[in-house]
Amino acid sequence: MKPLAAAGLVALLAIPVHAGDASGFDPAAIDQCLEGAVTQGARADCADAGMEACLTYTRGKYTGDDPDFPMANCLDASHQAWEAQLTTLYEAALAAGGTPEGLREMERSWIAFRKALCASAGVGKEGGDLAHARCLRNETARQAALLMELGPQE
Amino acid sequence: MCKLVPPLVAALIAFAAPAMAEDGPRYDAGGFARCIADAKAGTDIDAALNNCIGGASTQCMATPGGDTTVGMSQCLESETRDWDKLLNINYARALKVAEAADKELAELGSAASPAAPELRKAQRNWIAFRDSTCRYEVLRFQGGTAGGPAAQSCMLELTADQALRLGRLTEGMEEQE
Repeated sequence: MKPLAAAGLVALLAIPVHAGDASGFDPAAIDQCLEGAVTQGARADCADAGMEACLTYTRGKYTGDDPDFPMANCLDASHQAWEAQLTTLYEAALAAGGTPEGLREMERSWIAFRKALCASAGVGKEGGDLAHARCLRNETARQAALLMELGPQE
Repeated sequence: MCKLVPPLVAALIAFAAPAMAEDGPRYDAGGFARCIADAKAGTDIDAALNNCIGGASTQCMATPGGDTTVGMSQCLESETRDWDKLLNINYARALKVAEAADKELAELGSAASPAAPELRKAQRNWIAFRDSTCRYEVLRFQGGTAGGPAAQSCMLELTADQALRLGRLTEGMEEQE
């Protein structure tokens, strides 16, 4: 995170909590979207769930002069929420038994793929940091959607 | 391989093709291309493109002979080939954009790490990801006869996913130019 964004985040932390955490992002928005999504594609399209409310909230509260701050703040919070989704799914799949080594190998190779893919996203371009953050968030959401599809059939 | 086939033999194979096609399910490559073109002409492009995944192979499976294990396999393979072609086009395009951006940055004396090598690495890593994912998918069906089609349909979906992902990558880069 850029120093400026970090400073902004500290400023936000002092603000009364709106919904979800101090970033203004409500992770429940993701659950809500997922509940209504029936296909893997629709679930992956939930990547942006909760962003609009977060951006509105952040823009209203942020007093700094970094125009990218609200988006950086909300993408980061959204990414964290999707990481939590993925961790839950991954642990549930591991606990379900079957082929834990296969699952681990799949996750390892996915992490390597995401790292290289997002490193290539928006390099040296205007808004490159945001492109990188958006890539990490979107790929995490896609992988969560994939795990939901592969998940143990009950 | 094609270069080794004499023209006359190639012509004979071409004549024989319609008869052979009647034995197996009919895959409509034109239908695939139409789905992609229609999606790109619409408003919600990403969602529409996603909806193309599996469409052509599903239609193929509904043609005579498409409901057998062999027929299903042929249908899935045909659509995977179409997505693979699109993947290669989109990858080449993304690489070109990345290389151009890297060159521009290098001329400016930028210290930013170049994008093109990362994109190449990402594509290599994607192959490992695809293989391990589809291996895992097959393991979940182990013992069942669904192993074959399950692996193939996994390959189809991940190939399509990557083709569309690489396509979006270029869209984003072009927007910023």
